[in-house]
Amino acid sequence: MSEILKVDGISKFFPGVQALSKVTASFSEGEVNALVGENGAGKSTLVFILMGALKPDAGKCFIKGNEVNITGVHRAKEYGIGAVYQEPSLIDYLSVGENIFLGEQGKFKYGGILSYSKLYKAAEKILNDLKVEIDVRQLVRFLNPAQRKLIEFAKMMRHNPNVIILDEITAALDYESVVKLFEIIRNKRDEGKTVIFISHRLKEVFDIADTAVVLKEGRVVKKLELKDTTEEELINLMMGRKLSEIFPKRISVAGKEKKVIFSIRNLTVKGKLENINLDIVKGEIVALAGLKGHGQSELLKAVFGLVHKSGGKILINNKEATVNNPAEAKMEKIAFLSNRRDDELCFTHSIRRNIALSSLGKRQKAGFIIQSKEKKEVSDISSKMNIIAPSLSTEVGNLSGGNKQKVVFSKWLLTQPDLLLCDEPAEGLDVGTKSEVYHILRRLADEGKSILLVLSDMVEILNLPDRVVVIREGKIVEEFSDIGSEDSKMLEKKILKASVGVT
Amino acid sequence: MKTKKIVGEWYIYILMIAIWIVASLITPYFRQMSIFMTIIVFSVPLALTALGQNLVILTGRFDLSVGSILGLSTVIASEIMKHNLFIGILLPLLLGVVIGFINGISVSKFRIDSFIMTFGMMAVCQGVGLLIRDYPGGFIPKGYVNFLLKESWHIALTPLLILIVVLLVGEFVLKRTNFGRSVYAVGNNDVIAYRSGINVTFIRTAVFTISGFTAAMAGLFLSAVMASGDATVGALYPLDSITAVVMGGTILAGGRGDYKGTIGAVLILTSLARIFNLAGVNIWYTYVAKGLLLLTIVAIRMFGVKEEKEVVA
Repeated sequence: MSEILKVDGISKFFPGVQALSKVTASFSEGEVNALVGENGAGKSTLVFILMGALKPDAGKCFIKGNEVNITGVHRAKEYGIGAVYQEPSLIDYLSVGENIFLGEQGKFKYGGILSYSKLYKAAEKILNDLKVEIDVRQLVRFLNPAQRKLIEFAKMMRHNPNVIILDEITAALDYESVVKLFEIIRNKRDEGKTVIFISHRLKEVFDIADTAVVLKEGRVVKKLELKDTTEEELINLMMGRKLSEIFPKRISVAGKEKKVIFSIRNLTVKGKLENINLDIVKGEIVALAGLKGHGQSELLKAVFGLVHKSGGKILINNKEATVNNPAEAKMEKIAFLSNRRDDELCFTHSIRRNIALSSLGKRQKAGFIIQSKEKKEVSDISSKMNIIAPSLSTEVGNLSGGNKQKVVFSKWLLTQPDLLLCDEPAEGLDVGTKSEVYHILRRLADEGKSILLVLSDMVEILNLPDRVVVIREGKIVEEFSDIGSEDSKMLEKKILKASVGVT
Repeated sequence: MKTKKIVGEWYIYILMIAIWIVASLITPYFRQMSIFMTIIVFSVPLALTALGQNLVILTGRFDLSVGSILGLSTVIASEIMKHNLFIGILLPLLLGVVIGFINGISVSKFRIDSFIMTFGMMAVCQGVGLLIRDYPGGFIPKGYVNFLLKESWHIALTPLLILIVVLLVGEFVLKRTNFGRSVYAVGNNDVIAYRSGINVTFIRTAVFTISGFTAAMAGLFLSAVMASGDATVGALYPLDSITAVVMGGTILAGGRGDYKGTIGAVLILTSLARIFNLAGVNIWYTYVAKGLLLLTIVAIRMFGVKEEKEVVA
């Protein structure tokens, strides 16, 4: 197989961080190459450089052995490099066809008039090649996330690139869509295209990719043939340390007094969840697992009152509680930490203001804020959470992802919750910070708080919670309790089976 | 670093003093105490209107109805005060609150765009005002006018006091109360505010209600200044109040800004009108000057923001 794309000694420095240092890697024709690494390892930076959106400080790019200088997105296109980014890039109120040829409608102009029939015919041809069945005249706003990703893929294919870069393309997709997408990717590979595939889900990486380039802190750790590699090897390379050093020790809950403080009875959310029954014990960490998009996040939102419950009830200490909106949830001592930090934090406001926001009512006298009390509580919790910032009046937008997440924790801990709902609490953080978050969660559980998590990373599922509940198609299909004592390989298999529903 | 921050926060007052110095060089009238008193008196209604507008803009919305609420308030005062002073004060205030509440509930609960909602309300109030009194006139009691405007030792004490109290109350509410914090949070991002357990509907309704109330208050004050009622007197108040708020450093998208800057901008806007008047310049130039000043300040701020962003990235 001949090499098509090669990067040699690429370095890129951002203020405060060496994003890439002397990265050398080559990619061959007719292969799917995975680019793996923790967040902040430099994957996206490398993609931006290949696409001409960023200029490297040093290093060269070669295409078929010829040195090229990718100075802009248009040049990347000319060199036959195309990418689908993680962020959506379609316009809702244009049709599928218009989106595919956005910026190139000129091709279909005759005497200044746009021929829609020609445009739609061309768009149909691209979709047919990909074996995607979507009406090209439909507005994009009516498409689901999976269809949107396919359209973005089609949009990239309009130039028929030889090198296809897919940055976290599966992040928003459910299992079936991923299968379908992988079929398309395999077809393109068999046609001789080079695919650079980026994903956080190692299962998918092993599923689709032939080789993997492991990045860590801006350096290439190793290039591997995936068929001779185990998942554990890959994780160790990515993280640079062993699992036992990352996760906190579980104190077996078996010996502890089991006091159910929180129960969900027959909870139903129309179209999303059906008859969910779940008890949570004081000081326990329960994880909701399963394939993404099967209702795990909806369960947290329904409990917090963000999503309308069409049936069922919530019991706290065996008493029924009304939770129809976040304000009521807060009064019932429930906290919800979203996985999207921009749903939690006002980036242009100070750390102090953000931390104080959820618990304003706790420090007031006739509507006036008791400043001294607020100052003390905020500085106490932020030092307990180890938030690193110049001062508490620093704007939250200037903090690193890890520190932002700690601000979110601080904000909700000041409401003194008994139950913490966390959606992917460590998502998007580097290993060191992830480990800190795991320890914070375990410490809170040991202090007697109950924690309900949504997790999708198998490593987290196997090592963080006391109990795992698998949800498929809006129903609880299986429960694994006291998982610390079971063999992790077997458990992983069982959880996966329950997730996809094969016996 | 520290001084830079202080200059940044108080630049509007530095600008104000600079304008005053230039003005006193141009025209000798501007060296007299009486001119400052005139500026204070004319600043009061705009400061009041801008307080409500400031709250509304901090939540990321507009209130275009302030001007006609103000006009309506002068008209009702001029009709009722001759019968009963107390009701003549109470009724306009009550009406302001009710109109503001309708604006607020429509914007928050029924999700009508604030621009359209208050635009419509502006027309309604203007029309009602003109139905009651289609030309300026009516009766405002002497005692009421004297109470508000009488000068002791060449100082218009009551207006000065009102201005100071309004400034202190505005700043205090924004910075030191749950309500103020919640206003900032809603303006920055109402999803976050909602998830944090803040009653977003209440906050949005409240800011419009307050805006109606302060506009009515401004009307009551202005009716004393004119000693009459005039349904169209507030025509420029939506423009002027929004200009003052934006010039004062509040971001139109919401979530950022304060009231002390707005007061500074109010003083500048009122001063400009006086200066042009005293310098014998055609009054219409005032509008040109106000508009250019607003655009210049916004442009300067945009450059500032850009620089900030580049440093972060």
